[in-house]
Amino acid sequence: MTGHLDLDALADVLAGEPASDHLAGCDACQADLDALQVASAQVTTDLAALPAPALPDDVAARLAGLGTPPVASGGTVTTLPARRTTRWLPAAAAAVLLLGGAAFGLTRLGGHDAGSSSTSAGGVKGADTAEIDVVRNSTGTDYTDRAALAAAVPQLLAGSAGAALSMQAPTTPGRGAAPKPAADPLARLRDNAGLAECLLALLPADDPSVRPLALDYASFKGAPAMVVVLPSSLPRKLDVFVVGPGCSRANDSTLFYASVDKP
Amino acid sequence: MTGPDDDTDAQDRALVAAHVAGDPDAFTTLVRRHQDRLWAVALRTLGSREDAADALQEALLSAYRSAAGYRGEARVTTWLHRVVVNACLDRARRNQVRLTVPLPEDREPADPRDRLAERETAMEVEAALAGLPADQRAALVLVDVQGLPVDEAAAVLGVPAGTVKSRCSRGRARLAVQLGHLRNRPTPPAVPPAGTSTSTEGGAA
Repeated sequence: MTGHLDLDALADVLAGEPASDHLAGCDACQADLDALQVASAQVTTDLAALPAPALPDDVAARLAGLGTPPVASGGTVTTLPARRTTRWLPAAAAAVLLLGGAAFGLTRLGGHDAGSSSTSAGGVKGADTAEIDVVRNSTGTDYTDRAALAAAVPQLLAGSAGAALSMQAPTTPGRGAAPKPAADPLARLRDNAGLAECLLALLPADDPSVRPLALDYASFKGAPAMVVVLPSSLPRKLDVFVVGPGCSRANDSTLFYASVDKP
Repeated sequence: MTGPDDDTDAQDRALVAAHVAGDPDAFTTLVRRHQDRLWAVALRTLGSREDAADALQEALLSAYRSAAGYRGEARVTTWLHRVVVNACLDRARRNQVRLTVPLPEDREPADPRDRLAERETAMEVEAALAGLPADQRAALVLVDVQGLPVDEAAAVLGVPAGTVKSRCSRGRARLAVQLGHLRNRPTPPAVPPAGTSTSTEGGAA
């Protein structure tokens, strides 16, 4: 018989919706309603008894970074795992590492703007005279979420992301290949001194062997951004940070963070 | 006369005000006070640990940024739940999330038999919950799992209280069938793809 109330209709009656005339005269539907009322109460009991899931340490660490004060200029705000807020290299130690060329696998730079700046913020001298050993990409991809970043990581690591990604993801108009330096909002991060300052904010302080794996000069939700791929403390994961043009130890401009599977 | 909840909300409001005024620790403190409940909501609304973590981070970052716009009409916890649930539902709709039962490593190690049975029951309930339409799931998570009053859940979800009642009731009915509490009874309508709304729910008033 098709006139009986279906499950949703019965549930709506239990929720306080007016009962239909059919229900008043149908013993079968009334029995269904009574049974559903008992069963629904049992479901409520089941749901209330679910154990609270423990907040995983890595998620707690991500939330812990939310409390860093907003950046004074530009309104960008922190969204970082605790590694960035609690595991900083002390400035002096960082300077020593940079001067010694030990951090990030520094090697001598051949002809890269060696004289553009001799002192960077935080007193780190000489970083712009060395090259940071990391795979650099400049796709101009406009990333929007974790899935897009996770999909791009294999190509970023291989250094082959430029052509491939430009076909897969939309590129922000005017921010595609090879923007003029004067108009490039990420110019500071293309320079080794600025990049080193930024990486100091991302790398763990207690493990100097950790080095960045890949970069992508791109955008995030339409805003200029650099993607930094780092090893994770989890064996099968990589950490992906998306930072704004002002990224440095003194200016936490992280726009997004994601833990993605290692290819 | 004020109760514990009022005291908690007063403290929360003070933390929001301090954050807006520039206190660098206030928002962290606020998050720590509520992160366990918000995590539970995010995890059970999305079903996926990774998606829940991303949604929770995005939501709290959004709250961090928009705290100055918090008007104080709702409790701070209601505001935070609203931001988190909206982020979860947005993510579910946008990505058509494939729902999964929370990962086994999220659970405590099993030992005695009675606890094992409880855990198996909980896993069945969580699996069934994950199979509900997102709107029904979110309502049930707030009301039946987290214990929010219907009016507060309605404020969180931005819908009338009647709609919350309808979503909860329909969700319970589906779960009752899934969990075997309602045998040989009306077959539930086909569940729409995860992340979509139920089309003819009642309770608009």
